[in-house]
Amino acid sequence: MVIDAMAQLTASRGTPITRSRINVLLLLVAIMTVLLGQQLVKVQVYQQHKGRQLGTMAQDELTRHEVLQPRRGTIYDRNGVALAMNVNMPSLYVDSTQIKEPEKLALLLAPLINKDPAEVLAILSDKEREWTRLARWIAVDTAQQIEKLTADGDFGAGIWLIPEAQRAYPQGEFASRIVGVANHEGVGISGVEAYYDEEIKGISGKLQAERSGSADQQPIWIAPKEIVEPQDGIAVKLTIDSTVQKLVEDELRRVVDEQQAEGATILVMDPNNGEVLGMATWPVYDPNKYTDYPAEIVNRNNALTDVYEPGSTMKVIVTAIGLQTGAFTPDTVVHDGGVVHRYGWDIGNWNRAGNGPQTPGQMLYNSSNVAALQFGEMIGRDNFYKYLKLFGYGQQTGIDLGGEGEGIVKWPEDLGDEWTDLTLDQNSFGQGIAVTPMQHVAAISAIANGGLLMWPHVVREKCQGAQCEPVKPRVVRRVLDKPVTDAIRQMMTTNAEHYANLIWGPSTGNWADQPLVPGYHVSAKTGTSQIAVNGGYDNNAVIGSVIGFAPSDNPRISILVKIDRPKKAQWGIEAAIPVYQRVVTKLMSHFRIPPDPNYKTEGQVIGGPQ
Amino acid sequence: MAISQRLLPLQTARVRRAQLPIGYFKLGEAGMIAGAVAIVCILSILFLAQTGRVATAGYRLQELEQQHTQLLREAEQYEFRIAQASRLDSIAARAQTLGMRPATSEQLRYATIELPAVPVVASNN
Repeated sequence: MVIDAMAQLTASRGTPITRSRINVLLLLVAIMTVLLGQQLVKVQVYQQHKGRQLGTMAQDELTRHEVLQPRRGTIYDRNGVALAMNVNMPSLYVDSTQIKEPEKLALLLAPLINKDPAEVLAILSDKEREWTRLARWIAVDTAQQIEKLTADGDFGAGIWLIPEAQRAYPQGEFASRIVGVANHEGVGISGVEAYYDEEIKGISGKLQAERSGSADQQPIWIAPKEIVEPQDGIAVKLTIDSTVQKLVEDELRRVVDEQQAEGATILVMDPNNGEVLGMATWPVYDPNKYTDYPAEIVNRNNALTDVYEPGSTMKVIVTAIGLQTGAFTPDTVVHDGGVVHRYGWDIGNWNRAGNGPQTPGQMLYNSSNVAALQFGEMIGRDNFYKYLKLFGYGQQTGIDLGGEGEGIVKWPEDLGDEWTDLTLDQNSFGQGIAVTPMQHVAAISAIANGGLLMWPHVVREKCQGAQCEPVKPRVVRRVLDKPVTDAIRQMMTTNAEHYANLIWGPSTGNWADQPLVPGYHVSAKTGTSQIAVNGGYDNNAVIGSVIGFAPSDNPRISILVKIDRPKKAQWGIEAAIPVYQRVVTKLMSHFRIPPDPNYKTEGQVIGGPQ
Repeated sequence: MAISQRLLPLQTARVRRAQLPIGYFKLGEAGMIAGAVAIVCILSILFLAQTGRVATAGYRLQELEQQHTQLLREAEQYEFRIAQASRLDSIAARAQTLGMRPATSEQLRYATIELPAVPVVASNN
């Protein structure tokens, strides 16, 4: 009927349509109907388009997926002062296509963001750039100036100040070697930031919701949304006492400046629980500008990574091992003729002068290499290296900071036939063995606390929100018995008095032994170490060091001072002892330890000299 | 008329309904359409009102969240400033501007306080 009607219609209009043409037209319509039907089935039933689910595509178009970043945990010192924290600082972005008067704007902006006006102009004039970050993390007052500058719209609409999260270190260089640094992507790369990165960084969350059509694409709240809240990182409270840290950093700067030293390390530890109270190494860096420094400064902490021959400070450990193993007693005497001949080598004291009969205490007092060598031989290879291992030498202390070295000990079991008895002799006076400052201060702490090797650590407390969990001190092992440590402490106190004339002699004219720190019995042992280079020793440089603890009878702190290659002091101890004396004097006052007013000689002042 | 049989209400209704003309309760087509439209309109208005309220609350919530974020940022800034001001260098410099200086060893005085050998017990008298 329809065909007839169409035929009649065309006939009435005078345009003949043949049946065959109509059939072709019908065929085309039929084909198109089938194709459309197929497409309809495909879309409606299988919901596929170019291999993708249409529903998913539509949902993706509407839905906003966002990763919710957790807040990186704050790092505090033991008194709650923030050392590393998050802060949103404004960053300056520009859309060059919308900028008016780029020349004038470049001249005004450049000094505010510390950039060359030509560089700024090049960015502002480049009309291909629609979104460029001109400056990252600018100061708030600078941002306010930029806001005022662009508020009236004279320079167009293409200027934005957008807050961006920044890891900030409000104390700058202070304690930077301990705190470390998190890079611009928020990943800890050194110090506590790196060691505790997994816990500090937190766990990301996610948001999935329909978004609005506005520029900020905020979620539409009437649509159901899925939120997995991010879990913020833990905050950590360090064992570092800011006053102690400031003190050792100031002393570090002072000695490096005075001695024109190439490096220095000062470590202060609580021997009773292994808490590191202060740790300063030279050179220092500002973590806020970590990219300005070489990686070897940013990524390493010399107190943990650097090894050095401990020199005469090792004699304390040798004495402790001998007394503990019963190889000798405090009254055992060896003869120091100044030089001994062993295995084809002449081994002598620093001045090759003899000290005559030497007890272990006198060996420490005179720092006799010859006597130390003989006491080492009395101990014997097996006990000597067994106790070196028990003291923690040749292995990491396990401190909660990354990059720790192991030191170098020539273990007989490792070297086999290559190990010689000469190694034991050399090790007895601190040569042929290399330690890290942290190992050494941990070992001396075992003597200070009555014989327990404590785990050194820098984190005191971990907090998730308001809930804090203390990090408990850990005893690694007992190394010495208390009577042994009591004997060593007595010897080291006498030693400290022996060094005092270096400090007090010039002002009092008294060059005899006297209290090193008036009012306080303190323990100390110095060492001047040669520096190993290319299989031999550098004849032009030394490392001066002191290890000790105070007060001797009830130690609150153990200390290591190490000065690398001092230029002014011929013997390293001349550089190290004054630092040790000043640090101990100030710390006794800081920890409010009452002085013994009678423990001083004429001319000495409690609390001095400064 | 005497009551010969008591009828229950439902039974009464059924009897009365049977007495009504056929189609009494039936709506015409126009009536049904109008009724449906009315129902749809009411439901739509209710839905729109509900949605509007949710949307308003949502945007208010969003505003509050933005405000919360802004306040957090400001708090961070203040914490940062406090931390900077807590630098021992800054404190020392400030103390010096106030005319203070570190105590010298000659200025230190130590007092010995003799504590009583027997604990003092508070008396009510």
